[in-house]
Amino acid sequence: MQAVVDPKELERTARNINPGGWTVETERSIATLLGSCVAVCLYDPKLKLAGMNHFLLPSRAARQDDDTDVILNGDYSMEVLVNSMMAKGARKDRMVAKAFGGGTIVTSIQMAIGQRNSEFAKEWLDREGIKLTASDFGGAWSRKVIFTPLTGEAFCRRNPITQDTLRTVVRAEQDYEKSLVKPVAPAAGKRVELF
Amino acid sequence: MKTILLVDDSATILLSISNILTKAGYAVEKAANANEGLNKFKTGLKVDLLITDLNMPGMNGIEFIKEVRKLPNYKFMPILFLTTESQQSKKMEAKAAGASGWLVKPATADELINTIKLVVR
Repeated sequence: MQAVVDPKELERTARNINPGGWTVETERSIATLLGSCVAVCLYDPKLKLAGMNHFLLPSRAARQDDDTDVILNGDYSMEVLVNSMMAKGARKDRMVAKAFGGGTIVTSIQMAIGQRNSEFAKEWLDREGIKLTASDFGGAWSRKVIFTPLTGEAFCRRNPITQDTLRTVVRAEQDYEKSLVKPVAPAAGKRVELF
Repeated sequence: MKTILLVDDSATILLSISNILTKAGYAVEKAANANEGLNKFKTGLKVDLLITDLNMPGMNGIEFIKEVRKLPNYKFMPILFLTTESQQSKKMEAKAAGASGWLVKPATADELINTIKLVVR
């Protein structure tokens, strides 16, 4: 028998993710607030395993004729989510997707960014053979998305852009994008290591 | 021309990385999983470098390179991991299994090519 879900209750108890984040859940719903970023919701119906990420592509590469680094950045956001689900037993060939976001938040320049993010998500899912069963992209909206592992349903609420949206959503996305383009500081675990 | 075998279950990675490698002047062979990669080696394919993902369905990257290292023609071939994984324990496991190096995704095109130049002479 299909579980009856109350979106308000799901929202109240959801685990929230921020730009750049992802999580995988089997009981608790997942929520995020989107501007020009995209959230991809992946579901393995056999395991009732739900995963969601929240990402955007970095600005165009320094070399105008080479977007490969941009694509690799986007692929990373998707791959960590898929790998996290597979680590819990999910199978790529069982996964289905729902995706949201890519809104036009600030200016006509930003509109291209939202569209670029959503086009990347659609192309990535298609290339990886994961069916996109529902989506809501574009437009001058922010979106609140709630995704539940109980049924695999996703709830998306569009909100008009307000000054508050500009302050919170846009600021968070800009901070996240800065983290993608600034040079990665060396850490205890180096990015490149020869043995 | 040096030949690189690229093994990854992500079609996006196979496409993007093979484009980078081809542009840099390498011949590229691709495999979508470890078994396909092993089959390529068993045909005696001339490979100057193996670049492999770690987390793949079925045989993972570490099990894969252990099998590759058992094949006489590939005992000393350079092997790089290109992976989202950054745990030190996994790196040590890869090193013990016979890996030559480790790149954490998302590696840029420049990082990848510069690393390859260090291991493939």
